[in-house]
Amino acid sequence: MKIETSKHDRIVFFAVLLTATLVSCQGLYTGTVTLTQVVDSATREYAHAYNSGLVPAETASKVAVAYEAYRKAAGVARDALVAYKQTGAGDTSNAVQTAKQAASQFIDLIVPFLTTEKASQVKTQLSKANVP
Amino acid sequence: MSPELLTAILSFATRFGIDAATAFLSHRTASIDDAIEALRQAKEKSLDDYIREDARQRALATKTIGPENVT
Repeated sequence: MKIETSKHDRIVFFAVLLTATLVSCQGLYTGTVTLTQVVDSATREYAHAYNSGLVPAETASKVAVAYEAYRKAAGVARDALVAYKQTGAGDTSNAVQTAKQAASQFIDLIVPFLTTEKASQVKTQLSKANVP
Repeated sequence: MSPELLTAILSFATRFGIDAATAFLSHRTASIDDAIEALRQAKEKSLDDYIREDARQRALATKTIGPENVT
């Protein structure tokens, strides 16, 4: 079966393709910024709890390891985005998704040291950081 | 493709495209540069940096409002 395509069809196809690309990129970039803001805000509160002597040494060690894993994943995601910006190629979504997973593991460890209000806020924001 | 269907798709694509473009222009969403910068800062700031920063603020608050008022 041969499908006839007109000039209008091609315009529609490219308009839809462009829109889909634009929208998916917006989600990824906005989600990434939200993710880093959530972690930053929660880490400030954790640091306050740590300096108040509320964090046991064993937990502090686990938190430090989880935070380093997040930093490393953030670095990999950054490199992937830089490469994508320069070449227009590469898988940025997987790298950002890995950073989000690392952030979630870190947040899970520090949630007991956040205020109830902050913990609820962080979990809501993290779920909103909808990295595709 | 029927003219009605073509018109409907074109209308949807145009409206959706304008919404996305408007969002970009009004800075309600982040760009790739925003995301790169956010990740750079996340990579550079260590947990010790946060702890030191909190300690500094705590020391400043103690000096300013008195130790009995610092929580």
